[in-house]
Amino acid sequence: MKIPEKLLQSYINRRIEELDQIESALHNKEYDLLFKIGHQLKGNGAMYGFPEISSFGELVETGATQHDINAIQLQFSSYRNFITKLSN
Amino acid sequence: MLLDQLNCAYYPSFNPLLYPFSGNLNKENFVKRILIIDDDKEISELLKSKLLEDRRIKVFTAEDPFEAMEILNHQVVDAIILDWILPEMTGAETLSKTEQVFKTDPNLPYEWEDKKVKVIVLSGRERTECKASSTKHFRYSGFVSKKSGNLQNMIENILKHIHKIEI
Repeated sequence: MKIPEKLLQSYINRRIEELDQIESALHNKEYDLLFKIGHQLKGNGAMYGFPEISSFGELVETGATQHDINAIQLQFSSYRNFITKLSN
Repeated sequence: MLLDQLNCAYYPSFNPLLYPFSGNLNKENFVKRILIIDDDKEISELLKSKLLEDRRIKVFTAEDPFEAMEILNHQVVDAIILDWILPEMTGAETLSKTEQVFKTDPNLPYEWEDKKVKVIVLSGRERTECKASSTKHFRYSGFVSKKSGNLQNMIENILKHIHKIEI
């Protein structure tokens, strides 16, 4: 099912804006915020055609629940690269 | 007078003048009013854009329980697509609280009096985790999973429920 281009572009732009927020939350160990972000990415990523975003979201949600910042940090660079490539 | 005649001609509790319609006076062409209650704007915007491709659907959205209650206090709807987990309370608690507000609001639109709204739960949780009792105005009638991430399936399932609504 085709997603309107405008909506898709807005979605990608918001993911780019969110990167700094995730980085800051990781730095400050804001587990509640990480859980919320992860939970939403898990739910909406695949819907927009990006199962990679859903997978990362699930990892963030689990990492936040278990207070395991390292698990998230390990995947965050790959996620950042993925989102940056999408925007180009 | 004309209203009464129309009511008798169609359904006892149905007033076609209250419903915008998209074609001839066949009830299937009447526009159905849907409220999406989901705190994930990405999902509600996407669902809204897809549902609006059907001219027979009008969509409202709410990101949190209080916004949802505010909308329902002023706008009658025919169906609700309800995220199970919302900020501050669950989707079920939101509708429960709305019922309480309805009981005490003297300015509630009169159309709410006999209205039964179909509630379709949309969640990443399992169906068994998302159960609630129906109330006077809100009847739980469907569950659509967010888990698969398959947008087409999700929209088709939602539309199946919506098009079964009788006005």
